[in-house]
Amino acid sequence: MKEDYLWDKTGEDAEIERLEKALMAFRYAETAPPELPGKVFVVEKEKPRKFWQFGFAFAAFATVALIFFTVWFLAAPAQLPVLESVAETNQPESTDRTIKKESVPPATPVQIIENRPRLNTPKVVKIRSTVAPKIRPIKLVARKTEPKEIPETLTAEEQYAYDQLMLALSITGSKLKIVKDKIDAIEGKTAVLDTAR
Amino acid sequence: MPDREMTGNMFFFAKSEQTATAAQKVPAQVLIVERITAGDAEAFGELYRMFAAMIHGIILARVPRDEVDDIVQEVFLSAYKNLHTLREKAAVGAWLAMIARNCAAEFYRRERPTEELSETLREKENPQAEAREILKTIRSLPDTYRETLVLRLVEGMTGAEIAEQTGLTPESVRVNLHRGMKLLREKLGIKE
Repeated sequence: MKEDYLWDKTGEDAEIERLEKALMAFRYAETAPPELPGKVFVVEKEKPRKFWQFGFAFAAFATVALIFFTVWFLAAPAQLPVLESVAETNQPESTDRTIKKESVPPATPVQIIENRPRLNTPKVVKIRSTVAPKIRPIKLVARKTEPKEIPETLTAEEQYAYDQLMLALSITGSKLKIVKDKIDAIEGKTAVLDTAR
Repeated sequence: MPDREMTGNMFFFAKSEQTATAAQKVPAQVLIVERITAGDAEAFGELYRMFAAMIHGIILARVPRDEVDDIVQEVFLSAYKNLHTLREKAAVGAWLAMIARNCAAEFYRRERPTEELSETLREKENPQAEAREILKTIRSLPDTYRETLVLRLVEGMTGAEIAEQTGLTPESVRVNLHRGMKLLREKLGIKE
């Protein structure tokens, strides 16, 4: 086999020439180019769905986030008067439903709230009308309490403190007993005098 | 003139010379594609004449001979419609070859069942029985070999022309020709 003839038709190769001659019948016969369409409509391929899916997911997330933050920013100032009213529960009932911010006494919880950065917060703060709670007399009720069992393991300091406390209580108890006896004696004397009168 | 300025000018001339050389080396295919894109219908005819034989050979290596001409036309029409998608204009030959292979594959996907002609009738209609047998043997070879062999033996292209038009390297074409010819000889029972 002569490779040159196979590559660039130089030289001779009877066998290849015979094959060429036989296959000549199938060779391309020059024909006219096809009639071109008047106008070519370019149909764009559909873009990958993943892009749209990602776009829709992102848009949905952005919308939800926007709604959430909008609601949060709108709701945050509305909570402020409630907290301020809590700080003024001990003050007398205010007739003015609307007061300026400067007139609010600088109570500690209010100051903390005031220092918070607020967006779109109006300068005039509305405060709910609050009624001062009725002060009821304190009733002290002594309950009988059983002495707590001393933990078995006490440190030296705890033991010392406990002893001192018990000593103080016993002294106080004895003093109270003396006072009570004296009061009883005075009341007994007055009662005798009253009866005598 | 200062040395530096001279050097700069020399560099400029050298560069412009390089640009001119590069411009000359721009293949005619690129210019044709640009003209077609600009709406020159005559340029499409030039492209057709330039690559029709190659496309014919590629399709002939795959589909029945009666269908080849129609598919060649189909390939060029498809190329014309999709020319805007061609990025590398210099590789228009390889691009057309790819379209031709796809169209040949599409032919078999949409092929309808046909009745085979009897051997006697075939012989009467096709006097080149030997040529048909050879072509049939070539078609039975692997894709890379049969395509190159059809372009060489049927279309009469040289190895260099095949490489230039299909976008293959000359080395690949040489190997395909050599190995394909060896296989063909074996199948046809030809002794070297």
